[in-house]
Amino acid sequence: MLSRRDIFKYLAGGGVGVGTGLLLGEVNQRPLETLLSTHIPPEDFAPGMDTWYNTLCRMCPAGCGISVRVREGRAKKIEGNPGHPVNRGGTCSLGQASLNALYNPDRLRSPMRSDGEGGFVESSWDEALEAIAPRLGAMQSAGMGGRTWILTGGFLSSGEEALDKFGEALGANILRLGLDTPATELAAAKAMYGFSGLPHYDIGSADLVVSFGADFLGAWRSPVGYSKAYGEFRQGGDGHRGYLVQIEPRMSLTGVNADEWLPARPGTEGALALALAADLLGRSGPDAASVGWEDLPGALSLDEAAALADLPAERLRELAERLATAKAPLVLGGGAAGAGANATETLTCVAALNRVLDAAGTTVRPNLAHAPRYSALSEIEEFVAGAANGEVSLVIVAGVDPLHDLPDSLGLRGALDRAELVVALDSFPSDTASAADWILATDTFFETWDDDISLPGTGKLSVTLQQPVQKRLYDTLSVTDIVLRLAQRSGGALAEALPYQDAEAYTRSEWAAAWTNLGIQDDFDAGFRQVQQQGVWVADLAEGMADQFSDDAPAPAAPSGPQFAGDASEYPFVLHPFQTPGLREGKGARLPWIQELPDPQTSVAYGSWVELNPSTADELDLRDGDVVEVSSQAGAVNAPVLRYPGVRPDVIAMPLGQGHQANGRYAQGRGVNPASLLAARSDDITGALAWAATRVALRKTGERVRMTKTSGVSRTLGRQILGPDDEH
Amino acid sequence: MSTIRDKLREYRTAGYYTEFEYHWTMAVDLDRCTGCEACVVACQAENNLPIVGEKLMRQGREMKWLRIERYWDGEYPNARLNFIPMLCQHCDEAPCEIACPVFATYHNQDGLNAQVYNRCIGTRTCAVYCPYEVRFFNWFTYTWDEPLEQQLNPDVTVREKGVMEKCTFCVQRINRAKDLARDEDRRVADGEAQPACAQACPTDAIVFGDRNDPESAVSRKLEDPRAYSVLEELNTHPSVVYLKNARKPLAGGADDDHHGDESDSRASREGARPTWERGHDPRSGPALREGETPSLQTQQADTVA
Amino acid sequence: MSIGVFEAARSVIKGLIIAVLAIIGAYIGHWAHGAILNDYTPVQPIEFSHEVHAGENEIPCEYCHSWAGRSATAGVPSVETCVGCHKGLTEVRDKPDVVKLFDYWERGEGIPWVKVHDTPDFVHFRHKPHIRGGVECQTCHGPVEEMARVTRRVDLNENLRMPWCIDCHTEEDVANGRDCLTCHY
Repeated sequence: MLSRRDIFKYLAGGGVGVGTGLLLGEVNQRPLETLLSTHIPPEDFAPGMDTWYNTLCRMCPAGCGISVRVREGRAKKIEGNPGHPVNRGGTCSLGQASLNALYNPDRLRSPMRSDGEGGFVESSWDEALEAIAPRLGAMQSAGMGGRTWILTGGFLSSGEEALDKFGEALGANILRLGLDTPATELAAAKAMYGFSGLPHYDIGSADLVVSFGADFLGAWRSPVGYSKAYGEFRQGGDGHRGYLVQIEPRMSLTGVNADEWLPARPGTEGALALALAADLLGRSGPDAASVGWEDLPGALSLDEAAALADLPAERLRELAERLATAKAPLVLGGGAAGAGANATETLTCVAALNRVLDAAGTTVRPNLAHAPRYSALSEIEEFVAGAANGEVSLVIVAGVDPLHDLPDSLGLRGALDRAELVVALDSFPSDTASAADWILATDTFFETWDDDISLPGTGKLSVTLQQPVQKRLYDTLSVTDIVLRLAQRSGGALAEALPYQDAEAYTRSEWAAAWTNLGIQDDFDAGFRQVQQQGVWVADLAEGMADQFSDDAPAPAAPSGPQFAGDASEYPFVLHPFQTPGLREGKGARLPWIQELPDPQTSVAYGSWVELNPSTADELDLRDGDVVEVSSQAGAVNAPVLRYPGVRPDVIAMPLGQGHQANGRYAQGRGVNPASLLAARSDDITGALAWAATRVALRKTGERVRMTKTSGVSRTLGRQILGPDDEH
Repeated sequence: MSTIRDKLREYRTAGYYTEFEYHWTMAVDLDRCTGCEACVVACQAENNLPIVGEKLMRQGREMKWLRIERYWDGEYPNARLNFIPMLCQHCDEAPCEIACPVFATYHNQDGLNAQVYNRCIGTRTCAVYCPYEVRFFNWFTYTWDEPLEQQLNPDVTVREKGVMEKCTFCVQRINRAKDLARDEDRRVADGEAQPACAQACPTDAIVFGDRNDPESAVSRKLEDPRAYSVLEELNTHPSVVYLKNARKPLAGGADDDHHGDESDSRASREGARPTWERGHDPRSGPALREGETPSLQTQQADTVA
Repeated sequence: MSIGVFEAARSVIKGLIIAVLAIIGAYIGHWAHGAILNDYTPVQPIEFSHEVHAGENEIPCEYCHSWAGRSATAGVPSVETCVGCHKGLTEVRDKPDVVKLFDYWERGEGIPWVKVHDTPDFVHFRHKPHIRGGVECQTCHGPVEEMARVTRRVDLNENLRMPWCIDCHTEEDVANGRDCLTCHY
């Protein structure tokens, strides 16, 4: 049956099989892996083990202390530094994602020179410094330093101090830019508490918090620090549960978590606060004598205020009752309430309410008397006018992105175009850097030295040290390094003012000088080493270091009514731009983890949207995903509609932070930037940009898009997912 | 053969272990939770979760072991939004463990619901069985734009196409803590093993620890009268326990309109003590009843015609 | 020409038999590749001899692989460690591989050693617990002190495959030694 021929066939089949198996085995070998030895290991090198460095998070001005987990010389994970007084071990989504900035594929890897046609070519530090320093030297010797403008942010750090010294020695102008600056809050604290600094709000020990627009759990000032306090406020050890009332036109993350959300008409917050203060003064409750005011002339009655703010009078009376009976009340003001045309007046009334409640001095306390400085709109206008007249020779943009973050209506783009030479110090090709002649690639905060005075603080003086946690990935320098090198190369007063070799030497000398000034006589090296380990240096505010609150401020005047750029008949809606916890003013957009993070309230990722009250949307026949054109006096953008039950019908809300024209693959061309809609309107008193004082119109385009949104059914449908119903 | 069949039946029984060496448990205080999503990014960073991109995210293929779910209550101006962090509940009687044909998901001696990537063959049955919708399938081998891959955690496997994955309670951190404890010949102390989400949480809403230790922070949380489990009526005995938000319910806002046909499940809840108090017979098997409860919010993106 | 149904069926069966034999053969071949033939001896950038260092000179393993008892990875010595000894050993300074070493040293580079004992990425083998448990280095790595060029010997450790791990964990009654999450996470 089995022929010889068949046997050969079978054998051949089997043989081919064995061969194939052997080959498969060979192909399936695990790929060759190499084990690279170190040349000289750093003293803290431990393969397969974690090394932790305490340093500073620079993603926002809050200045949280972080511990970075480093493995084999690469930063792997951010944790909060439990010993840091601001964040006490907590972090936020943006801080967690900051590693995306370090390892971002679109980070600049060397200095770049504009090719004049919108592109950039790689260059070297020698070439870059040589293109700038001689110009500085010439300006310096000719006494023309005023033709240089330095655009920077508002950190209180040694690095900013170096820029200050640099600008001073040169005689240059410095603009401190930011959209949501504390300028109006500082003015109000000065007016009501007689205190020149940002007060410390002790949310944790309050039993009632009333917040006028301050989204302190989301993106306002120091969200992590306030969140830590909020945890204690809600479920503290002593068993009391604090009560939170949020008054704002659009439900922010804080509004979501509040016990009561009161959608007051934008711009009426001051009148509300004053009416509450007057009502409390009228009662025998809070000690009228301590505040020194008999009554508050110009204050509305609660009913009148309720009508003005479009709130039920009943709710306002309840709130007054709560305030009158609370043991440790605290009133906050900020966000959009601190960014209207009457912002300073509004926040002054809020501060006055704190004084009437005797909160000033208890739950609102003096902090470090050290005010961050911010430029008023008029100074920015001065710069723009100077550029138009050809009086600006050099612009140095240090780590800020005003072309994205600030309204187009300020005319900054035109000013940068007209300036002779624009040098951007940035780690990314941001919108502003992309408009520069040179981009000097800077380190991320993981790679260099600096520090930060915690503001808003902790009631203590705490300075966080920023130190490199790993080697530089690319051919970059820190802003301080660049400033020092430019100063050295330019010679003259500049070189004298900044005689330091690098950022490390400079930072150490600043600390040594500060400690000497404070009369700390300890061994500096040992002390500094300890700070390097702990990541932060905390001192109780010694007598005289903190201004005390004075209690002789006169009663506040009635705030002026809400005012907006744009006529109500033409532009029926008030635009409410807001920051999300991840994107903030725009720093989060380049980080893929943040782009992919659903917005807390709406679950939208990867884009922009326009929040409309469902009733408004019904009136305009708009469904989720319908693209509308939002237009103001200043400009227009198109974005899809999202029906949001937490926004007033006469307000539309849009998230800030997207709509970058550059800034790498994750940010570029994604979403729209509501800052481009904002009119160049300022707060009446401080002159700070009023970013919540613009009216807009809506137009249905007929286009429709599918938003990237993760949540489906948004009701529990009786499933008791949020806990068993109490009433059953 | 019969022994194999017996063994199979034994392993197939949810709650295979009569007692756990450690009983890792998480308590989430919804009164503290603000929905800020720091935990979501912390989880992504710790566990090498891929960046799937806008297109896949729109298709509902987001990879987030921990997500914040949002539930609205009422209408403007009495609208209220509630957040609840949702992650693998590490059920002591997990439906997914019964489902897997290759035992790639099972319960271990520490009360963890394990997912073994190298065993998983990608049938996705477990994801269908999971009532919490917290299992994620790798439809693709995801890559990182260079040099983002330098951030990857060397202690966590990078998964590839065809593998199911989910929250592990950061088992790499638990293992590290256990290793350090072994050095000193002691048990892991309370607070020593912290998953990334708990460590990041800025309001300390997430508490993690060993339920076997009556002194641990998480054991004390379980005694809170606000404690409950999500979808308790399914008898999955989750290791994630939520503490109900203590806000007063919205006046007239609770979604009364939707209470319709749930009298059945409410009846089963009445008289039921919380899961963590109830001693349960580990061999009894889960009391799943057909068509009892609609599943949670799904990962599907809204579809727009 | 016509082919009968029976004959057609026979040739199909024959084909099937060949296919089945081929598949069985492939299985045997693949097994043989892993189990018998696959000692693994890669060429290293420097012809470093463990036979000389660990064998003849009796340098303890942990002198160079100093992290084995403390960390997940044993670590390879830094170039500095090598040079530290070899600076004094002028009599071997001219050997070609020592010259190579000093070239690395002068260029400021690390040495790209090729991994010999490697596990897949989904296995989190940790040295520390094994050293703590008193496992000899040779139990897994073989008699390295006799190897001029390090070999992964399949007769000793079955290419570090999982059954081999589990056998030992079972014999030694390792705590949670057969729990998947001990190694796979």
